[in-house]
Amino acid sequence: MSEQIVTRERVAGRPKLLVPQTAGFIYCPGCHEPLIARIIAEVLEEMGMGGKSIGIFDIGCNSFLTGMLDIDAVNGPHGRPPDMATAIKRIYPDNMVFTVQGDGGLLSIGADPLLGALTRAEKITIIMLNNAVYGTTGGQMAPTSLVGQKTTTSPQGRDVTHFGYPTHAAEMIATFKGVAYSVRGAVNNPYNYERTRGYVKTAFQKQMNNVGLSFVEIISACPANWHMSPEDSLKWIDEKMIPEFPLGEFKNVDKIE
Amino acid sequence: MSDMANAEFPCVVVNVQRGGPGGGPIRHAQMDYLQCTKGGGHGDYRNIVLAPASSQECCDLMQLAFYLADKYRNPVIVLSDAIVGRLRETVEVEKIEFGPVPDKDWAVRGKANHKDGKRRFVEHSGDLFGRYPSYRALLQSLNQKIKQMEESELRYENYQMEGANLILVAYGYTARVAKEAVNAARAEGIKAGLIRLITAWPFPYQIIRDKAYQGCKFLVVEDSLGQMVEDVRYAVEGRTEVHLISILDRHMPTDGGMILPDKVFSKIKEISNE
Repeated sequence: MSEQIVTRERVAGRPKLLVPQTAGFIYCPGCHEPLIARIIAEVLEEMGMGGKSIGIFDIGCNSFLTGMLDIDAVNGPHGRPPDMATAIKRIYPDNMVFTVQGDGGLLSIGADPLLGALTRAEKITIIMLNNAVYGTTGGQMAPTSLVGQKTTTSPQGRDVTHFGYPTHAAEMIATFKGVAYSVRGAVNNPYNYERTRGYVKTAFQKQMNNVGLSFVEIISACPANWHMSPEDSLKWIDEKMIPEFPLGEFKNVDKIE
Repeated sequence: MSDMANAEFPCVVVNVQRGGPGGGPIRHAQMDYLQCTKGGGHGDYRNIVLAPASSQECCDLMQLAFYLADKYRNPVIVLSDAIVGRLRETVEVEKIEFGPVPDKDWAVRGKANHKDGKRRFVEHSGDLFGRYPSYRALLQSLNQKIKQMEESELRYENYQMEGANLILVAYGYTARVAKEAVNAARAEGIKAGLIRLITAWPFPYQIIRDKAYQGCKFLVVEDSLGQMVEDVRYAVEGRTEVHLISILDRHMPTDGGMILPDKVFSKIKEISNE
C-alpha cells in the first residue's frame, strides 16, 4: 500500500480543524455530537475548505461545537441559522456556509427560517442532528419524538391524538425544487459512520458546485435524555429510530432546471 | 435586537410608528417611544433613537444612524411615524462625512481571510464562550457603552426658547404641530418655546431639569396615551407642572385623527391663564 494513503496520521491522527479539548469535555458520555464534529472537521480538511468555512451553530448542544471546530463561527437566536446563513452566503458566495442544528431548533422554533431558505433555494448546507428530544433543556418532547416515546413533557408516552406524529425532515425537504441533496445518516456503528461521512462530503460538494440547498439529517444518540447507557442508545437507534427514520438519500441532483 | 446589542452587532432599524396596541390601525401614532427608548427587548441594553421631523431629516438622520451604529457597535433606531413618512418636501441629498468608523475585524469571513489567520466567533451570550471573562464583565462593558452614548450623542432643537416660561416638548410630527402653536402663542405675547427631540434617546434630561429649576412649566405634545411625558416628569423632579396633550386630544375619533395646532394653542392659553 502506498504510504500516501495509509499513514499513521490518517489512521490514528486528529484532523487539524478539531480542537483538542484540554480544558474539559462538555458532552455527555455516548453523545454523538463529537462524532459529527469529527466528520465535519475531516471532510472540510479533505476539501481544503477549513479556511473558507463559516459555521452557524444553533442554540443547544450544537453551540458547543464552536469550541471543537477551529473555523469562523456564528451563534445567534434560536432557530435562525438558516436566516443568518442566507445573509452570509449572499455576502460571501465563495465561502462554505453551513448550519448545525438540532431537530427542535430546525423543525420547531426554526420552522419559519427553514421554510424561507428552502423556498428561496439558498445555496447553503443544513446539518440537522436528530435525537428525538429537546436535549440541552433536559429531554422534552420534540417534533421527531417517536409515538409512545416517554419524555419529560410526554410522561405517558407521545400520544398521537394530542401531539401528532414524528416529522420526517429529510423526506419533506427532498420535495423542494431548490434542494440539490437531502439525505439521512447515522453514526451508531462504523458502517453508518463512514456512509454518513460520505453524505456530508456530498452535501458540501453540492454547495461548492453551486447546485442548490443541501441537507443532511443525522440520527444522533442522546443517552442522558434517553435514560439509557451509551451502548443501549446505539441499539435503540437500530431498533427504534432507523425503522421510523430510514437512512439513505432522498434527493440527489447535479442540476436544478 | 437584544441579541444584536449583546453581540455588539451594528444595525439600523427603521420604525415608522403606527397605532396600537396589537394589530391596531394602520395609520399614524407615537406609541413606540417607551419600547424604543428603554431597550424594548429582553435584557438590559439601550438603542440610540433618532426622530426625524422632516423629509430632510429622514435623509440626514439615516446617514447618521449608520455612522452611530458602526461607531458604537449597537442598534440604532430611526423612529418615524406615518405622518412624517408621507411628507412631500424638497430634499437636498448630500453625503455627510462623519469620519472613519472602527475596523470590522470581529466579523466572520472565513479563517483564511483574517490577517492573523485566527478564527472569529460572533455570538450573543457574552460570557458563555469566553468573549468576556464573566457575566459582570459583559455588563460593565455594556454599561460603559450606554454612558458613552448618553454623554456624546444627545441632540435636540431649541425653538423660540429665548425667555420662554412655558416649554413644549415633542418629536416627529407633533413637533411640527407644536411649532405652529408656539408661533401663534408668541404672536399673542405668550412666552412659549419648544424643545424638539432629535434623539429620543439620549433624552435631554439636563436642560429640562434646569428649566424646571428656573420655574418654567412644561407641555408635552405626543400622539400616545402618555409615554414621553414620563421622562419629562422624571426630569423636572416634581418642581413644576407637566401638562400633556395626548392621543385623546385628536381632532377626530377615527384613526385618521391628528393632534392639530389649534388644540395645542388652546392648551397653551389655558396653562398661561392659570
